[in-house]
Amino acid sequence: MLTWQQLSWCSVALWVGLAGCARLEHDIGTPLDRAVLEHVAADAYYAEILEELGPPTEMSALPDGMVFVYEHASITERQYGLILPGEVGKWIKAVYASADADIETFVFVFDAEGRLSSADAEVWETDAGAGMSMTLLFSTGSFTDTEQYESSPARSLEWGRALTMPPLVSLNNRQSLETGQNGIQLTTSPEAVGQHALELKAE
Amino acid sequence: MGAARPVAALLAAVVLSSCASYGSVDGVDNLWRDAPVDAFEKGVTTQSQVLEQLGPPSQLINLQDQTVFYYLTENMTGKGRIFIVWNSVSAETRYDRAIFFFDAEGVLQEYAFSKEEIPR
Repeated sequence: MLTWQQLSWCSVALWVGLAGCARLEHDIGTPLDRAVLEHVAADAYYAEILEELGPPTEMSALPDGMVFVYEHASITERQYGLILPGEVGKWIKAVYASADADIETFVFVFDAEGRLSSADAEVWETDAGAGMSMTLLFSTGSFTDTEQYESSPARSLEWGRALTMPPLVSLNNRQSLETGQNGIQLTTSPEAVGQHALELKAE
Repeated sequence: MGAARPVAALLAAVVLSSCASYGSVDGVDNLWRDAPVDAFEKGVTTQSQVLEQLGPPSQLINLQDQTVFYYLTENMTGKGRIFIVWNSVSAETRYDRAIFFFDAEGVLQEYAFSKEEIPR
């Protein structure tokens, strides 16, 4: 039978020993309604898609038409904190974090007359990465790199920043996939894909 | 003495728990939510009238024979609950969008607002 004092110390040990367990959630956009796809005609006019789903998350001109992309992302990060053993270790907080992302995407491609030429919907869950941190102080923040999921459509408003980027990135900015003139890419695309591969050489 | 110290430590841990909230708004002012019902009329309203009512668009997209004005407001809100043993941070990012398609003469062909709306 534990004494009151032992129970108290056990509570403190539990409280401190597990310090730093955290759950971080970020919901970006609103869930997409898949039922819409069931009654969209194969040659629907783009105005019908706008009526059903509203303005797209991203759009771009194509050589013979245009493309709409609708996206919804939900990111969940779990962090597990531990106090390290030893005289020095007790002052250091170690945190391991891993993240998952649930992604929904609709793509609609229209011809030059604004008629739907192809469409697709995908829903998938992906491992969004993991990370480790050691800090002296208590903190709660993200330790995984989920920037590609959380990149905002509002980035197109930051055009002036391109002038301060490394030369290869600045030069590639004219072909940016965020301006709506040169195609699109999903927010989950890795940086090594397509034209961004050029920018990797700058790092 | 006895259990005083561990109880004090436990109490301190409880007292030190906290909550936080944060948020940010990015993009243009979603003036289209305040516009009169008949403010935008297909085949009638012009680019300059839309610009006059809503200001510069977030993005201007050049299609082959159309021009698109894309307006975007982004609202991010978050809450944090810090209980030392277990912590939780949740954030939501919502978008309010408006899009206008004009023909080569600058007359409105189609327009739409997002289903989700950020209160002004």
